[in-house]
Amino acid sequence: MTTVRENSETATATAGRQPRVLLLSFNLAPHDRVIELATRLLDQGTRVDLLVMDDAGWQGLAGRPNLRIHSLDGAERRHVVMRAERAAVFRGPAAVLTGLGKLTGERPVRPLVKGHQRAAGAFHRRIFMKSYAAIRPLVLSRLFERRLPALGIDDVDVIIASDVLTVTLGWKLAKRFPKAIATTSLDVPALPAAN
Amino acid sequence: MNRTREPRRPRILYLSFYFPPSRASGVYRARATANYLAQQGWDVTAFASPISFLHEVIGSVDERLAETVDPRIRVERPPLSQFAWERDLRRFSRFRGLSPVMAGKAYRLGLSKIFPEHYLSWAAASVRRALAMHARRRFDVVLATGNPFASFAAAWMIHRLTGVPFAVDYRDAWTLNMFEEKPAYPDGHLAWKWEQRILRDASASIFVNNPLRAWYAERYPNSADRMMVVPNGWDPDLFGQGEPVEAASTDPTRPLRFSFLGTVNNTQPVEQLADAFERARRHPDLAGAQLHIHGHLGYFKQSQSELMKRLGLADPAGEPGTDTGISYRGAVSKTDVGQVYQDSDVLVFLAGGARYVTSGKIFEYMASGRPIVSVHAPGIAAQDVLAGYPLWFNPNSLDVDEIANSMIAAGKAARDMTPQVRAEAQAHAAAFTREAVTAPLEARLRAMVKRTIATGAEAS
Repeated sequence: MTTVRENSETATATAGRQPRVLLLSFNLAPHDRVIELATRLLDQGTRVDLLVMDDAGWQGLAGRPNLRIHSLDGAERRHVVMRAERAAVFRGPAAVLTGLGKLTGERPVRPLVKGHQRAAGAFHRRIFMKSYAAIRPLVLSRLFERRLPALGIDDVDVIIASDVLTVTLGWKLAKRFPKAIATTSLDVPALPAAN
Repeated sequence: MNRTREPRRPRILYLSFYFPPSRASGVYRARATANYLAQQGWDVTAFASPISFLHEVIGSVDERLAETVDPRIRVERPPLSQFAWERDLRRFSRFRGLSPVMAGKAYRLGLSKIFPEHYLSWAAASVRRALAMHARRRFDVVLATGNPFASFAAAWMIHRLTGVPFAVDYRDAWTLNMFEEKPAYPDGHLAWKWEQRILRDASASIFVNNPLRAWYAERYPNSADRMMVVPNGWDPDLFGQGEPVEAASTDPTRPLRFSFLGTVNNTQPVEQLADAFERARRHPDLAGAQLHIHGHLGYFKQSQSELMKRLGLADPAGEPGTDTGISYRGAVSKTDVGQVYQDSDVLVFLAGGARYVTSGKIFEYMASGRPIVSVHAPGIAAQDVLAGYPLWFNPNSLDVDEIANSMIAAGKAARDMTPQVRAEAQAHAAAFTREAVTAPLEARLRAMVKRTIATGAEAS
């Protein structure tokens, strides 16, 4: 449900300037409503900066005028938390087992390798990812914050956080752009007419 | 010195989340109950929703309705967490802003382990405030009305902590989906546990019609002897005196005016209404007839556009539609409904659901003394109160042709109306004034009070 207050607000865009919306969408498979929102914003002549984890789910809008898509391009996988987990859970034990295999031959080590793969996969899915999920919005917000200066986003009328992973970045951007509407609503915001 | 102590007024805590200036459909029952209790000498304290929730989330209020609340009633507004509705990122707490996943989990944990409603925080705040007020001056009875049913949980908790007897008023069904006529929750759901303990300990439970009471009595046989029916009624003070019965006949030179007054929602047979009216207008008696929709389209502003389309009306922001004779006339303050009825020749009773649905609006419809056309599934509970109303035109079907024929017959009745027929219709409605239907509830509440209290009504 959308609160009425947001719908009644109008972005305070400077007269004569094209309205600009920062749409944050970190779900790898964007929801239909988010794509529809982006489409409607573009149709009404709004400039849309779309911040995504991966642009694969946005091919349908690629090339539209007024749309810029900024993708992390796998930067999350290179984050220190993810690297540390891969090193401690996957690569480190695998390297030890490889060395052991060289000393004893592959055959006696093979069950250990399979056991490690199963245990590491289970740990990754059931323990690490569940814990990481709690801090993931924070990690992603920091990754994007580092990139923001290069994106040339110096003014914005509306910030839309379209999923839970984008809330932290949206919350921080709301402070950076105090005049912008900052919302999680997926209804088309009231904007001044584009020129 | 010989001193005699006067018995003091009974004191009631009324937990009614939707209370004026809310314009929610159930608010009229709450308003009437509180006003009636105050008139009968009760010291009434009502706990209601925060005003900010009505403005920011619901999106509308009826300030004139608030003026009709008895000034002797003390209205308190315990706070409510708007976590579930808040969309403004700037209003998110630091914890929710920096850790939205954990904040969401913590919130959902409360819903899954404590009480399964977003109004939980309001209930908890109500309990805290009630305990503080009770410590200063004790309550004699707690009455809770739902929805939201968190108010029932609050009443139960206050009872457990203080021993004050409580009653629950099922303005809506809780664990029964009235429109699908099956349980609203799966077996083992937390709502069943709460309902079981609430009905076990409540001194009375109140339902709006007999089918609902019977459904609950079957599920909770040990509580059945404490269940009662208090139907919705109509409010003479809001309805006005109406026109004199002599002014019954309709000007034969102008087209007939059909009206719906209430909230249009997704459970109602909206398309059948629009199609039937279109067909009925082809009849010479209904040439040029108009159907005016008064009230709200949906419960939230966002619902309006979809319902406009279903009614065959153009979106307010879109292109105008073709002339179907149907027009949306907007919201009406409850204090202005009398004028709407006076301007109507025939009333359309559009309702969703069936066996368990009465609709509060039907009582007011009957009080107007106008012909009423039913547009709802057969077997609706409202038929029990409409039975005997001399101007009821019931197709007993959702077939479009049948509804259209009923509209034509109702139109003819409006043309042929006599003062005598209208007086007979209004006499039938007189049995359903709020005062008449609320009196047994007041008596039951009075019987729940454990100590000596003053009796009799007070002048309002």
